[in-house]
Amino acid sequence: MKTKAVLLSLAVVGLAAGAARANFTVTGTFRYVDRPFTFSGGFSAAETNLPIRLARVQVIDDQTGAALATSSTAQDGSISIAVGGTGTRDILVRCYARSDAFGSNRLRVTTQGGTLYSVSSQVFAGWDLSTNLNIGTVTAQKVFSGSNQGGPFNILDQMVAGTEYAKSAGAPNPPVNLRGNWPGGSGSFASGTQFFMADDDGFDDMVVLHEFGHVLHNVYSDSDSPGGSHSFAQSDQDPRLSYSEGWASFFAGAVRQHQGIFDPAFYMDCFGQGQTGSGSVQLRMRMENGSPFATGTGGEADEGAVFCVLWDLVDTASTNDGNATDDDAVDGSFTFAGGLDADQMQWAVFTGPVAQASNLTIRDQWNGTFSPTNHGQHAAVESVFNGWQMRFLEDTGEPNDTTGSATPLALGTSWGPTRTLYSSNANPPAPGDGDLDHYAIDLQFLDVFEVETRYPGGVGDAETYCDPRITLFRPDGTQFAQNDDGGTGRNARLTNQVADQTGTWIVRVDTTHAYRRTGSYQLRARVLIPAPCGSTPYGAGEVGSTGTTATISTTGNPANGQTIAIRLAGGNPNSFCVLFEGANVGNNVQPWGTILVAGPAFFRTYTSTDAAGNASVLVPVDAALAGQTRYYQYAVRDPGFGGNIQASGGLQIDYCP
Amino acid sequence: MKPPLSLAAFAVLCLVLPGGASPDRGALVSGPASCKPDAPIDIEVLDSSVSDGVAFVRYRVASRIDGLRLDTALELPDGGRVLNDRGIRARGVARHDPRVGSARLRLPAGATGGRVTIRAALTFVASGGELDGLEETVVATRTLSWGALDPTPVLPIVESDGVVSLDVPALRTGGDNR
Repeated sequence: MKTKAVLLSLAVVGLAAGAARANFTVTGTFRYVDRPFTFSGGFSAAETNLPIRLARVQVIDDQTGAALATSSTAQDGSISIAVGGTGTRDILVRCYARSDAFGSNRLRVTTQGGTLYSVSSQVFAGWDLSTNLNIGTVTAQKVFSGSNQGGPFNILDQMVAGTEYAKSAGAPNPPVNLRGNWPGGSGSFASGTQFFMADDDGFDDMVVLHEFGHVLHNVYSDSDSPGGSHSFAQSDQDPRLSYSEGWASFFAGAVRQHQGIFDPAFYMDCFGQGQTGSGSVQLRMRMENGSPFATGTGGEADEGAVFCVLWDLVDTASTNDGNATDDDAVDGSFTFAGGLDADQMQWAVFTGPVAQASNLTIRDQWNGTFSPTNHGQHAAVESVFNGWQMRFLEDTGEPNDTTGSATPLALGTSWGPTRTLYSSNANPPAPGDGDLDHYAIDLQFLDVFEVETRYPGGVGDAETYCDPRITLFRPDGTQFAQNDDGGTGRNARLTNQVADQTGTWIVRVDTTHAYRRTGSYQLRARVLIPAPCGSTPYGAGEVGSTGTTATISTTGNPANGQTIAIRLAGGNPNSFCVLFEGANVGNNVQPWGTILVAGPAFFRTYTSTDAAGNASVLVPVDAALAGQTRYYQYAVRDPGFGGNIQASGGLQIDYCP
Repeated sequence: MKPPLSLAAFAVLCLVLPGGASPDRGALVSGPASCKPDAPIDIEVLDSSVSDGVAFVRYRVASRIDGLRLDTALELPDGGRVLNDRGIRARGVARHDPRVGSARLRLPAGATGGRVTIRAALTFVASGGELDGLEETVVATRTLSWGALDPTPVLPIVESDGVVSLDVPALRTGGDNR
C-alpha cells in the first residue's frame, strides 16, 4: 500500500478567508482513489483511498455560487473550516485539484483546456449556519478518458510531494504557477511550467513525477536538453538529453524516498486501461541496480546511468527498501561540506553550477560537486560515478600531457587499456577538461600503419560520451595527420598512413567537442604493411674480455639518395674494428667466434672505436644498393680475449626499392 | 488522392518540435518539450494512406537492444477490422536490425476520422536485480490518425458513498480557474 507520509505541518487549516465571525465549523475529509503498484507486480488489483493533501477547499453557497470560506486540506485530507454567517444556506464543500500551500503561487491539475478538476460534497440544503457541519468523507473517484483511467488528485498529490521534496532539499516556494494536464493525448511530456500526462498515465506516479521533475528543472535550474525521443539501455544518446531525462527520473525516486515509501526508486510506466499484475507493466527500470537493463547501462550519455548515479548519491542505508545496507559508498554515514545531506548537496549543485552551465551534461553535475564550491567526499562520489562507467578520473597513464611524457604504446592488433580524457591539477581533481594524452610508437620508414580509438570494450553502444580526436606527429616533431570522426561512431581513425620517417612517432588524443569534454576510450596502433626496407638483427655475437658483447644497429632512412649510419656499441675502447658486409648470411666458424656474413662482397671498411667503445660507419645509399639486402657484422680487437677478437651479432639491412 | 495518415500530436511535440539550447538562460522558466522514456524500440511509419474506407500502413520496427522476440500488433478503432496483416514476428533480434510490416484495414463505416496504433513488443533477457536472467517484455506504440478527430471526452465516474460527486470538468466558481 502506498504511504503518504506527513511531511509538512499544516498552517492553513482553519484560516477561513473572509469570515468576519465564525458561526459554525465545517469538518470532514477529502480522499481520492489511487491505484497502488509495485515494481514486480505492476498495478495491484485492489485500489486504495488516499488523503487529498494540502488542496484548496471552499465552502460555497450553492444557490449563489459565493464562496463563504476558503481553506485547505491537512496532510491527512481533513478540513476544519470556520465559516461566518447567519440564517440558512444551501451549503456545498468543494475541494479543488489545486494547492495554495507553497507560497503565493499554486499547483493545479486541469484539462488541456484549462478547466480545473474538483470534487464536491453533496449539497446540504437549508443548513442552519449556527450548526457545525460534518460532511463526512468525500472520495474523488477515477476519471476516464475513453478507456484510460486517470486521477487528477493523484497527479496533484505527486506535485505536492515533489514540491515538498524540493523544499526539503533547499528550494524556495515555486516562483511561478505550476500546472499538470490530463488527459494529455498519446504521450506524456513537459514544457515550461506545465506537464501533460498521456491519457493512460494518470496513475503512473513515476511518470507523473518524471514530468513534474522536468518542470522543476525548468523552474529552479536550466535545461539544455534538445528534446526528442529517448529510451533506457542507450548510452549513445545526446548527453544533454540524457542528463535532463535522467535527472527527471531520479527526481521521482528521490521524492518517493522522502515520502518514506517502500521500494521507492524505480521508473515504471504501465498500461492505464485498468490492467493489473505484471502484464500491466509497459516499461520499468530500477535505480539501484539498473534491472532489467543492467548490462546495457553505463556511461555519461545513458539516462539510466544518470538516474542510477544520482540515486546512489541520495540513497542511504536507511532507505526503506528492505535492506539495512547501501551498495555504494555514499550511504548516509557522512554529510557534505556545510553539513548538507546528499539531497541538499545535489540540489545545491543542481540549482547552482548546473543551472549556469552551457550544454549541460552529467559532467556539470560532477564538476559542480567540487567546483566552485568543494562539497567534499571526492573519493566516495568518484566511486559512485565510476560504478556506472562515468570516468571522471585520471587514467594510469597520466601524466602524459606532453610529448616528452608520452606513454609507450606497443604496435599490434590488441587494444590498449581503457584511458580517460581527464586531467586536473585541482584538489580535488575537478573539472578535468582539456586533457592531452600522448603515446609513443616506433615506426619504420614506409611502414603502412593505422591508429584508431574505440569505445571501451568495443561495445556497439558507446558506454561513454567521449568524442576523441587523434593527432599524429613525426619523430622530428612536425604534425603528420589529424582525424576526429573517421572511426566507428564518434571515434577517430587514421588508416593506411605511410610513415615518411623512421623513429618514435607521437600519437596525441584529445577532444574539441563543445560538451563531450571528457570520457573514456581505447587506443591501438598497428602496422598494416611492414616497410619494404629497414634493419633486422640476427645471429649471436662473441663476448669480449670485459664481459660485454658488442652490438650493431643502424639509424637513418635506407632509401636511395639517403645515408645511413651503421653503429657499433659496447666494443673495446680505442680499438681497431672492421665492418664486414656481405650479400648473404655467413656461418664461418673461427676459433674466436663466427663470421655471420658471406660474399660476394665481404669487407666494407675499417675504423676505430672511441673511448666509450663505440664506432659508426656512414653508408651512402645509391642505386646499386636500392632494393638489395646486405648483411653486416663488426669485429673489434680485444686484447684480453683469446685470438684478440670481439664480434657483434649480425644485422640485415633491406635497402628500399 | 490518397491522404496519408498523420502522426499524433505527441509525435509532433516530441519528434518534430524539440527545442534547442534554451535561449532564455537565466530566465525563470525555460526548457524544451521533454517526453517520457520510450521502450528501446523504434517504430517508423514508411507509408500510409486512406482510400474508400480502407487504410494502409507500412512501418519499420527496430530494437535498440538485442532481443529474443519482436512482435507487432495493431489497435483499431471500434468497428474497424483487419483486411490484411503482415505484422512482424521476429525471433533472435539483433539491435538496429529493422524489420518491415504492413497492414490493410477496413475503417469503421461512416467514420470521418480515427486512430490506428501500432504496438511493438520486444522480449529480451533481463539483467540485474531480481529480474536477472528472466524474460522481460517492453512495449512501444505509435499512433496514427486520419480525418477529423473529436477530442476524447473526459468521462467522470460519479459514485456515491453518501456525499460524493466528481465535478469534471464542471467549474462553478470561475474565479478559481486562474
